[in-house]
Amino acid sequence: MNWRVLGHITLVVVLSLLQISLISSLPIPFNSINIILVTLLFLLLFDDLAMLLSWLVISGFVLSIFSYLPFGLAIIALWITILFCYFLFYQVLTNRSLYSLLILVVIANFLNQLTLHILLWLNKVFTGQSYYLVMNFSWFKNIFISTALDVLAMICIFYLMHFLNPRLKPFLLLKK
Amino acid sequence: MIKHSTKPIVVSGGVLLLLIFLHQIGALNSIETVLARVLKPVLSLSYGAGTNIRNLWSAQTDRRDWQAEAGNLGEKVNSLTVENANLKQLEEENLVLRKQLAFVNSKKKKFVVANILASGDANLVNQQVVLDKGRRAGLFPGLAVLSDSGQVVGKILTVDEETARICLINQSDCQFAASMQGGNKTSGVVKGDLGLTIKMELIPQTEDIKIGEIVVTSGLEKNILRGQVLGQVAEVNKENNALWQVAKIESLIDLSSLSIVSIILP
Repeated sequence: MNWRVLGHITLVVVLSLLQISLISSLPIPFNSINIILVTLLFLLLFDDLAMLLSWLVISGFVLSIFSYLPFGLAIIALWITILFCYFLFYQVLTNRSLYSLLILVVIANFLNQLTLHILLWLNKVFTGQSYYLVMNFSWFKNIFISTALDVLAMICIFYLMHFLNPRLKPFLLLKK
Repeated sequence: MIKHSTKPIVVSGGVLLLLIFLHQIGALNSIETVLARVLKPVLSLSYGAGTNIRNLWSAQTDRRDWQAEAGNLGEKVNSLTVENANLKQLEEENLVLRKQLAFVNSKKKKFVVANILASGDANLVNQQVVLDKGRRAGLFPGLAVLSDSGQVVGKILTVDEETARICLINQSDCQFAASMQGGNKTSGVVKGDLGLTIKMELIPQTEDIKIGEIVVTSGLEKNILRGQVLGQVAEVNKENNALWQVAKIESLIDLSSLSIVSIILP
């Protein structure tokens, strides 16, 4: 195993641990940031589906070990969301700009939450337990806040990577 | 249209399904246990760091309310001091009686102290909390979880070898048989309401519930000791044409600020 792969695995695991523990303990509304989703969406820029899905599987596995959700549901929701966003990014938007990524963040947040709720409901139905699929104003408000924070996180990551790594510049369309 | 290989999608889908299948049959238990044991200290540290940030944030935003609350608490401390003195007297008498009847000392119970590793998504109604102790520490489903001040904050739902998942008392799937402090029979059922409030249901119309009364566990449930504090009555809804009364219960602590909990083992 080469150092690059090891570095990737370490980074994925660290991000997953931060999501599970640090971010979940932050004050409301900052505890609704989904750093894993934002990072995976950022990786769409690199057009390496194998790497993207590897990151997804590893982070999903770590999240599932410590998550209160039934094993696998979070990974499946993330997998569906990221694949949909991959299709949108390369077949519909086809523009590797910050604005495309921000549109994807909005869509991905809503899709991820909706998919997770549906999977949880299906899981509870098949296991005989009750589950409240509550999609009221509060639910939409929480998604809006989560999306706004993820958009901010994406902007920060985008400009940080642009600043740190000049080789990325051709990939990132910026106004001069 | 840009064409992309579907092989990574198929492979990743296959790996996901394999992981879920292996988890269900228990083949991944040893890997999950080792990973949990290795990563727990890191999780505990980062959750603690996040809690400190949250406390700092709360300190800044709640400063205005603290002065008023400090005044109220001062009066409460005075009355509780007197009550405490009376209770200590009763406790001493109780110990003497128990010795005389050859009872086992009820205060010497085995405790397990656990750190919170992760808590749930604010957007999910039935959110749970993950603790860093599990089956290996002697935990099992159905045990009550207490805060550092001794109030019941939740119940263990599921346990793994190294971790446990608990529901908080304000969650809908968390219920306790309860009674009023000083009462000797079950008065109702305390359960959470969509993660927002706690209510006590199935209270007989003949029960006289007063605002401010302390609600405790009734001892009806196996593995949960009698007399553990659940909260304080904040509101009573008593309608003459209803079969039962419903009371709104207020927790005496902030459930979102928990970082260390304890579990009494029977």
